[in-house]
Amino acid sequence: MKIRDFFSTLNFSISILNDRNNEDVRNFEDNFDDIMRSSIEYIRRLAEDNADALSEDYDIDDLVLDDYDYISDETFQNTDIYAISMKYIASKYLNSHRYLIPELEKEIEERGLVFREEESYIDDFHENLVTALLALKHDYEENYGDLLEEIPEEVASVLRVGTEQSEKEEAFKRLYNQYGNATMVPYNVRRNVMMMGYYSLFGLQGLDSNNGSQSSLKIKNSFHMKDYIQGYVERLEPVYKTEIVNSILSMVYQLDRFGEIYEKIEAHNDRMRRYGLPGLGYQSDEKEIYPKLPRFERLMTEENLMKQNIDDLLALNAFYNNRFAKIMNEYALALFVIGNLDMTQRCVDGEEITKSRLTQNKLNMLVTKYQTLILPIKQYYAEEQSKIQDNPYVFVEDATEFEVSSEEDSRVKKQIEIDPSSFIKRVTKAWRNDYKDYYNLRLPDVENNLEDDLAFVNILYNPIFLSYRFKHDSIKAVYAYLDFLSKEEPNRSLNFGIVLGNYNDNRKNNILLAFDGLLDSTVRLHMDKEEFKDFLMAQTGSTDIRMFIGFEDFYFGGEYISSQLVAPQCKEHEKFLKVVKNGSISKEFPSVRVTPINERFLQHAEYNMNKTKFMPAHKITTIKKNKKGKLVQEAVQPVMKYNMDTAKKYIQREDGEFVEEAEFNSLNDIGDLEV
Amino acid sequence: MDKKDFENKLKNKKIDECVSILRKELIEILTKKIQEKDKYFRYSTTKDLHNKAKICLKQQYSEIASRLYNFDIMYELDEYKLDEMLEMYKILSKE
Repeated sequence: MKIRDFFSTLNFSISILNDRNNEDVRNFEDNFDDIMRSSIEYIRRLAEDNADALSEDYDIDDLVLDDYDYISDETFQNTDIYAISMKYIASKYLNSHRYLIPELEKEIEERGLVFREEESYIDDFHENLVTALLALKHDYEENYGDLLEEIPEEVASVLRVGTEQSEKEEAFKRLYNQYGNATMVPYNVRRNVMMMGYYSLFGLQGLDSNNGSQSSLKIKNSFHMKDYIQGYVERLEPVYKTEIVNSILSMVYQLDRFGEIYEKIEAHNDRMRRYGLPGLGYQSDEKEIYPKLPRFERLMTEENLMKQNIDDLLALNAFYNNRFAKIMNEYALALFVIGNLDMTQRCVDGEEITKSRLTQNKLNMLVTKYQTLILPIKQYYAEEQSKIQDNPYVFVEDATEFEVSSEEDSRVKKQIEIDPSSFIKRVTKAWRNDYKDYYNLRLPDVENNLEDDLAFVNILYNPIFLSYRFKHDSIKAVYAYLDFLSKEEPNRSLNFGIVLGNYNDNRKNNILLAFDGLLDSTVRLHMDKEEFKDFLMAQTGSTDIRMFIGFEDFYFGGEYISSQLVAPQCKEHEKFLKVVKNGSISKEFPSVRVTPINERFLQHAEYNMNKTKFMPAHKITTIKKNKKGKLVQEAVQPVMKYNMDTAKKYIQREDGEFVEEAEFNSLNDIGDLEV
Repeated sequence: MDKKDFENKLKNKKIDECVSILRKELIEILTKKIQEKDKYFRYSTTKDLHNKAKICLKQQYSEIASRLYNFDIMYELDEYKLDEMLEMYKILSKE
């Protein structure tokens, strides 16, 4: 696409500045001093940690740019989470719906599909099933192809049977009688023969436990043989968990480098103290008032995270990706302002930049300048994105192709060199001298070199672009996994989905999603409405979305309490909740008690810790038969769905079916029953 | 696309609705173009569309798919989106 001329770009940039829906710009203006202070601290820490590297030829500005490249590299390492999530869900689905395999195999044949090393998982659930099956078959052939070709003739002759299930089972029993039951032969040899037979006869699908005869299943179990697909999914799990944990840790590490973790701990503790819940905070280095508080760092170790459920890890991953994306946005703008004022070194030397030091006009002009540069850079990223076939995540400036491999994962991640110089030339040509003339007049003490400015913004934008992509992917991954769990494990209590009411922010195109889990806070994230609707269709075949229950519990006396940090639950917080609930006097927390302000929040937290079956404020009653066959009403936590097209709400009945809210209420209103 | 309806909405400055209509239209055109190369392709999300366009379509179209996807994940002014989408629509409807 052609480059937009300077004045048209400028007009949009000025509109962005005036757009009250633009959270990024609004947030930057409202919290300018705080953002600037954090950014300057980041620069100072960077200078301090790399004091030896700084010289006349390599100054602090170079160091910041190199650090941004490093951040992009680090962010890039998290690319696999989305794909492996989709692969894991599809593989687990295939394992529990094996009857689909023959049909999918037929489709693979018709479409002439073959396994590709770079397995490509997308938003379309059906396509993911096909890709996962191709990968599964490939893995099976890799592991058992040779083995099955080398079956000794005397064993093979036993296995040579027809295609009927009964014939195969008969052959399996014969094999057992001839070889498996030969007790004089060592167990591992017998097991090998039985495994050859098992896989040869029943393939990767295994013996259907619903249709297989009891004696065949008994033989299978006596050799501790797993169906191939089940074993495959079990092998995937630790790899998957490791990937998510690494992603969480790298995001938390990056946030910590920017001083964000400490700040958020302070903010979280302040709030919790204000609402009479100091024991739900974290140990802070400076204010060790409550010795029984957990250390955030201790909860976020690899060891502790590996113990958590996959759904909770995915929610943590989405939360920290989202936080990281926001921070990258804020810091980019702040670093742009610092760089333009040529104050990077002076900030290292102790100078501060505050709103009162800059005129509003100058600040507006710098933000407008940044936006003017960002718009063509976004176009540049779209251009590059559309060229690269192998991997969509390849935006590392001046990086040569390199390989990343580990013991667990031998796959190769490629970063392809991209060179923005020709694009910058195109912009320079399209904007001629307009850029320089315009900004020289309005920002006379600033170097307004278009080529340098574009190159600078390009580097600043790189991690923003990557983190926003991962943010959306990570939200999709956690929703898809929880939706999958809700169907596969219907008895598991899960609270996730869209937040309805007046809680969605001013961005009319956004929806708010929330996820509860065995975590110490609820994860709340925004997502583009249209994109999520399409995603739901692609994943589930409908625009029904699960509804999150109890969002109003986060309003303390009218003030909304957002999650500053999220970590796995810990015994210290659990103990504190017990103290509050029992109204016991505690030495550490002498003044805590349940109040009308924090009551619902506490009920929500208890429910999350699996301490209660429902949150009293949100319970509903359903009718069920008791042991004596008598109809009784039972209080339960509602499971609700919302249709994004029709705006209708549905409640799950006892039998698992969803019915419209009104119908549900009328069905459950049958007079005075025992409760 | 109902052009009259679109023009009315544009006249009444219902920018977000115009964006939504154009987004759908652009997706439909790109989907058809991909289906000419891969009859099994069906639209799911702009992310998938952009990944598929990279393989099947010429760069100019693939770029449009990338822009559409980026509009879904990054906040942009509706007026800017509309302007860009109209440009994309012009390119796509040329053939």
